[in-house]
Amino acid sequence: MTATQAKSVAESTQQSNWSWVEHDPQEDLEEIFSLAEQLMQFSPLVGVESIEKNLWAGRSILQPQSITMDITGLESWYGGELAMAIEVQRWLTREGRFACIGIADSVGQAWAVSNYSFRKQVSEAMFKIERAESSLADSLNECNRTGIIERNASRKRFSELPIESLRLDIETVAKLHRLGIRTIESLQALPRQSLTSRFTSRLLDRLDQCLDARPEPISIRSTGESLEVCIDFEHPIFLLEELQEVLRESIAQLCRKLESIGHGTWRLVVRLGLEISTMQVQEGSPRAVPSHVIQLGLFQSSDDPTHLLWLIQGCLERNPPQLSKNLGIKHILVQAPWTSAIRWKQNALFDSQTLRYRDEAAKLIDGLAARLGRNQVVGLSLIQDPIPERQTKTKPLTGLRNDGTEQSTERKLRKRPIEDFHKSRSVVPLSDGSWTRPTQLLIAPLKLEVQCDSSEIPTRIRLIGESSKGASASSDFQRMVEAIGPERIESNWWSGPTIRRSYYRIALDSGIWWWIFQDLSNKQWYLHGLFH
Amino acid sequence: MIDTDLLSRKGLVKELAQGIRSMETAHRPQGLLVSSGSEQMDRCLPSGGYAAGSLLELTCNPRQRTSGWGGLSLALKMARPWLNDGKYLVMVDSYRRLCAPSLVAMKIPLERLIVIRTDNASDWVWGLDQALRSPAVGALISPVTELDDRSARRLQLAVEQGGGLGIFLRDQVSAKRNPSWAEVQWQVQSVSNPSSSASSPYASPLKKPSVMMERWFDLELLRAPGRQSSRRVRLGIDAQGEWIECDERKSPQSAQHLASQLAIAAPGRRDLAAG
Repeated sequence: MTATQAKSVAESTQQSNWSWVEHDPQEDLEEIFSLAEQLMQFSPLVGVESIEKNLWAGRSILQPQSITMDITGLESWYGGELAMAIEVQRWLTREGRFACIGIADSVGQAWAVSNYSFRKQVSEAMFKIERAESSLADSLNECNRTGIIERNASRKRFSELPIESLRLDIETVAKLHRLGIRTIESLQALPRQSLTSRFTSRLLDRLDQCLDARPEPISIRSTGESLEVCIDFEHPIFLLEELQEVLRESIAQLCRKLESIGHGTWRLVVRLGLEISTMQVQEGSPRAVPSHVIQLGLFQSSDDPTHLLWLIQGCLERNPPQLSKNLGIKHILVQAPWTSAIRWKQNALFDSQTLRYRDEAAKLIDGLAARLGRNQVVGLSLIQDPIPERQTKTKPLTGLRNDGTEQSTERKLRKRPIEDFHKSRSVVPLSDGSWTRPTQLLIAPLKLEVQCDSSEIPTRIRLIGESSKGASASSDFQRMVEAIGPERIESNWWSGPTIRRSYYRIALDSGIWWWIFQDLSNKQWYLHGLFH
Repeated sequence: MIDTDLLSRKGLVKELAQGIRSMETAHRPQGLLVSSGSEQMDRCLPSGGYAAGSLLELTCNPRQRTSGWGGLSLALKMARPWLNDGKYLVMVDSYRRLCAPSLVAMKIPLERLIVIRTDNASDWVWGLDQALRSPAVGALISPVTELDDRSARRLQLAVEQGGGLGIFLRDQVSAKRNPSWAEVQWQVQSVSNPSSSASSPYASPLKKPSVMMERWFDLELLRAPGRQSSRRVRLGIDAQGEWIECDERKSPQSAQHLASQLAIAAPGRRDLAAG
């Protein structure tokens, strides 16, 4: 669903409690990989679709959006493929997910069915909601979103699907559209030889994967052979101090296992099995309560027990299990679900000091992110955009790549050590100097009241309304002693409603420097930045 | 006879002061000093630069309490020399206001910048402690509002272990009310460009020739080890982000003996905080 559609649907539901949230690619990635891990309750072989360098036609972001599961031989446990699909659908609905399911002989077929069979239904449902003929919940429940392709199905089952369902890049699809080919049926009618000569062999591969069920590998997230240490207690433990001692020993054991195979872990999962004390259990009521789970993603693979323990302690301090004299820990499971060989580098070839700092910085970032949260430890980058608030992009320093792997130190802290940052690419001195942009930008610009002279040029200024933290409102006018401007800033025509502003750098008689602008659409003045 | 006694007493006091100083700095990397890059500023500091493993405070003049007094720009300028050997800069930005283009213009390498956001005081102290303790951190810049004595001491010990420079931006009122373990404390006041005639009122500021390509500050050294009197210096940062030294004759009176400043000297304040 596009943002415009979503807005239209949200407005039609007449609920005022919706708001726009900027898309966070990292959160999206973590969510889909977390969902894939949870779906392992239905099948041990679960993966996330492997995307390519170029965006597929019909997609708007270069990120995985589908999950693939190998359910060979498992359907009998549920009473058939349909029953299994319904069970998975029910579970997803309970989890608050809206999903379309396709079961077929190959990944290509299942992908095409799940991504393109139900689009018409969904758009019709949205249309109904917009016309207030149906509520959001009813419309979504009415949609049948499970498609099953019987074994050895004929090619005709796919003939109605659009060519976008073949996972082709935008350029190929645009070429096919220019030739008037919009469905798989039209594509099938063309001779294969001409397709090879006009397009790359990728088109035929995709066609075969869908129509002839050519097998494709599933990139499995976890093979289920994770390294783990499990400790069961005869009697539950109730104190965090005892827990820390046990964790110290468990992590040390895990690290010894990792060291023996020369691996480091990228992820660490600690499951604390909680149990209610026997004395408190009513007859017939369950003793076990949901486990307390701590999951950690690391900045670089590690087999250092001190470091791992420190990270876990940070998580425990932030989110401790609610232990009491009635609720204790009965067993502890420490897992390293994803490991990789630790790479050794000959540091002497580079500046060994710089590399040491990089490794130390990686440890610091891991620790800060574990306790403060991933989104609280970020790096900044510059974006080429005329609108000042869009020029600074923040990105968490720990996170996932598109294929689900943790981003490595090389990715985040640069592969080569930078000896002199003056030569660094990211430092591009602005042509007109250091004082052209403020050091701090207010998230929400503050309204200003401006007094102008006879030539309509502002001379005195004061903040009006509520003040934000740090820029306290003053009821008195302050005299501007210096000013540079206007600097006209206008948004790109393709990035939504036009924004036109005239910016001024001003110095007040109190010695303070501000960055203010006049919104040219309503002539209102705002304080936007502080030369702090 | 009196002169001899006086001299021997002075020598004893000096010796004791040195002894206390060496005890205080025993945990730091010895002998590592980093120049601020400004000769005038270095001359004000007894050791001729900032010591590795120390805290520095920039306090704003109470008249300029509204943000925009330039403390962050000064802090970035002071932090820059500490990043030369591949170390990292940590900045605390809980209000999500940092503007990357200005950092780039101040020659801060974004690939070696770690920004921390904290929601509460305990996370803030913990985050600062961890960052200052790390040998990878060359400098840390954070605003400070309230800081209790134990946390201040904890941060001082952390920076001594890490060997970097912690730069705190404080309000003068808060700095006087709360304890501090900073080795050097400057009071900063943003002033008009001395080369301009900005002090005279203009009918309209926009008609004036542009003088906002460089920014000037009056810095008053409130505290430094071994310094008995306050020192003042006027410094500027130009459009390229480099220091501009003011002609000594134009700078404010230096080496002033201000009895009132002694009231906030380090030992007294520490006693006050401890007691």
